[in-house]
Amino acid sequence: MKKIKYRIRYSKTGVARFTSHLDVLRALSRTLRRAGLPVALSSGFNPKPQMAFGPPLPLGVESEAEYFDLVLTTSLPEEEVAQALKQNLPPGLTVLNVHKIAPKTPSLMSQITSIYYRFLLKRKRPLTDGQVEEWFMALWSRPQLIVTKKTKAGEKEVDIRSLWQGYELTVQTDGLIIFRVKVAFGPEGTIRPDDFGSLLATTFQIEQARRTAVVLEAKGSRQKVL
Amino acid sequence: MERVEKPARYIGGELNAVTKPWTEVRLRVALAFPDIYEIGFSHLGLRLLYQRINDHPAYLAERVYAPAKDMEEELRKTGLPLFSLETRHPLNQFDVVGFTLQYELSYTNILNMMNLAGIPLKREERGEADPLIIGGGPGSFNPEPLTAFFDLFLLGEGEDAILEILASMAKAKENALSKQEMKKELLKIEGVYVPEFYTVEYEQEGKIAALYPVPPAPPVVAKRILPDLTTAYLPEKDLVPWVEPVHDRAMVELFRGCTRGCRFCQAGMIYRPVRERAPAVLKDYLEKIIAQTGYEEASLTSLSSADYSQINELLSALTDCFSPQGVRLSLPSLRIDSFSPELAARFQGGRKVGLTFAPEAGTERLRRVINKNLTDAEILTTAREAFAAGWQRLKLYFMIGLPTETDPDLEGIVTLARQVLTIGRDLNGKKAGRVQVTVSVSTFVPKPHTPFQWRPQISLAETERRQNFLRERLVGRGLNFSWHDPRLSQMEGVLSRGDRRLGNALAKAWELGCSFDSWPDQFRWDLWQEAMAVTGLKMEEYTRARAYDEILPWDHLSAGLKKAYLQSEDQRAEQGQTTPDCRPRQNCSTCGVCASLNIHPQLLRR
Repeated sequence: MKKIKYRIRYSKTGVARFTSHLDVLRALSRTLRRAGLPVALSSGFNPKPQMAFGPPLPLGVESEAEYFDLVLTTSLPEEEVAQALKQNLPPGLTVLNVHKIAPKTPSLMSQITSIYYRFLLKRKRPLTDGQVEEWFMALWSRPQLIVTKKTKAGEKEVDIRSLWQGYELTVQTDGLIIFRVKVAFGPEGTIRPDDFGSLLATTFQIEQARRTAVVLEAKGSRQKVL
Repeated sequence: MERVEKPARYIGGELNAVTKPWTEVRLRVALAFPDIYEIGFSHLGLRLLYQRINDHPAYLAERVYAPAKDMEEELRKTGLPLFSLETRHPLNQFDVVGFTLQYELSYTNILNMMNLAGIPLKREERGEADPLIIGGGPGSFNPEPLTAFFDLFLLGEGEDAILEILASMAKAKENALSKQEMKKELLKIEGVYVPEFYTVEYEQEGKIAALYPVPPAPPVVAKRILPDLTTAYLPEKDLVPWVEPVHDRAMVELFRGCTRGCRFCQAGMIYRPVRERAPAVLKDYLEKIIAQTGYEEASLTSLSSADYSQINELLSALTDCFSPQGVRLSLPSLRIDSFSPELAARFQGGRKVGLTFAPEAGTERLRRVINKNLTDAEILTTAREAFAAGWQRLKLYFMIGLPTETDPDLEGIVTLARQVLTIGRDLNGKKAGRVQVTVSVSTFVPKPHTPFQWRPQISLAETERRQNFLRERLVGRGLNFSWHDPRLSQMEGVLSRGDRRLGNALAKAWELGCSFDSWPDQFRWDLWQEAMAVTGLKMEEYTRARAYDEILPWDHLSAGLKKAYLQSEDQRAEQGQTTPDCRPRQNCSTCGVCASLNIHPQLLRR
């Protein structure tokens, strides 16, 4: 049987942000059946579509950079796959693009090295725009940023400073602040939107959080990605 | 929303959810399930009604489930009223709020949901602008504990009746009729029970002295029933949830009703007669729904699925169609005497996780009493076949407290479980250690409209004694024992055969903080006892035996069963006499349903 691999980028917006990663996995596998795509199924008593996903999106966070890899048994034009998915996705999920990728392309989880998030912030106390800029500058300059992470064994204090790769600040005319960040993703860990929530908690309220892009690197592979 | 667990329970927006423009319809209906999303979503009946109403251009139906405790807390803290999933309108802005009455221990949730929506609980406290509160489902066959809170109940099958109810309401609304006048019109619809048109008088000890209708209400309300299931409504679409419900699958009813005549079983009595749906209709429907929902499982539901006349042909056809797509079939409610390993393997998709059988009682004698006529040999043969086919875990379901039960019947449970375990071990050789037999026990609750409706329910102390009896004996490697909290069964028994006086206790229990009573970790026995005491009622008044000539709280409500039939079945039970399955027509037990409702069993040829 032929195995043709596709990489799909999709968005998750609106109230769909309240659905969990597992909810989305179920919804996508049902989308494939509805779309009638020639999906390669896993073997076993409970055959499942051959799909692989990128990093789970935390509950409550929107995204325009969700990815999954899909294996089909027939080679279809990318546009046809995109159309079939678009027509069958549940409300809140939209296909952004579909690319054929080489069968040996490494997994999304191993290729993604950084993630971009965009936060919409409200000031909790009266700060001038200048003070806001200074506040973030001070945060960025700290040698250590300790947050508490929940692990199986309980709570753990972690320094996430080295995982924070950059930021950009825009103050809107309505006073809301757009705070964009780039964070590392990989075996060394990542920073979750929640972590920023606790770092900012004293001064800012997160009104909205959105994953806007990921950085994909062709680690250990000569295949060109996307 | 971020503060509650599984916020997607409250967002709606599922695939195939229907959102209609609020102002462009004549009537707005909220369909409410008084338990959390995962449970309520799994209920087929409400999903049918949802599509049925929305198919009509003049009406809209939206859904609401009971908010979990954390969400309730947020709603109360922020002062937000309970809202519908589709358009987030508060429930009190609908014309109708329809609650499904699936189990008695959900009743406090109904009151809680009304309160969260800002709807006055008592009917007499509600005004013309408040929604009409209606109920349906099996609870409608004795909704007396709820009569103070509801405007009307529908007895029996709702898919046609709901449209008649809405048409009548829409007309009344356009003619600016008062609620009272509207209800007089609604009374004319078959199956509609408007409790305020019935007067109940009580004797000293809580017995009913008199029960009579107020004109123009009929003396007895008979249930609604569809004469033909093959032509009955099936929706074009089905919802696909975000949050994983208990039953996450496409569903279709193979048939309604059941011919077996088990004497304890309310469903087997109130849903008579049996009506099978044509296989072509089932197959077409499932093909359409699977294609359109993408569910990976299709469930063929009924009260005893293997009784379907053409079950093998149907399963073959469905397997041919669905296997290549990776869609499994499931067949709940399998009887021991209809089990075959081939049948089971086919719908379990080859997985052999665990099998549940329900002998119900431990001895052949007691099984004859309840008319579940299985011999020990049949049970052991089926167990042998299941083990031989590769299953290693078997669950045996029993009831304790059945009429005429004595300790030797309990011994029978232990003996049966041990015999099944021995068979499993012998067949598993070296892997004998993996064989697990679980005995699961619940307490028998006598239900209205069954032959045992006059029987007493065993007391809390006696339930505990019988559970201990079993617990002490069901020990050893490979044997497990699980049981239901006997206090929940007591409360279920009280509400199940309850009368109107219980409404006060129900309201009191809710006031004291009872909700999610069917959840053992939420159930508050202490508060229920307090509620009963404060309202001057005794649990024993409801769990006691009744005399045949006593007026029962549900005597004005009819599932079509003759009282004489129920009595004779009860007497036959006492004598250990069985009554044959009424599937072959010459076996008709003259229960009265077909004659009184002018209907016939609908059976396919085998």
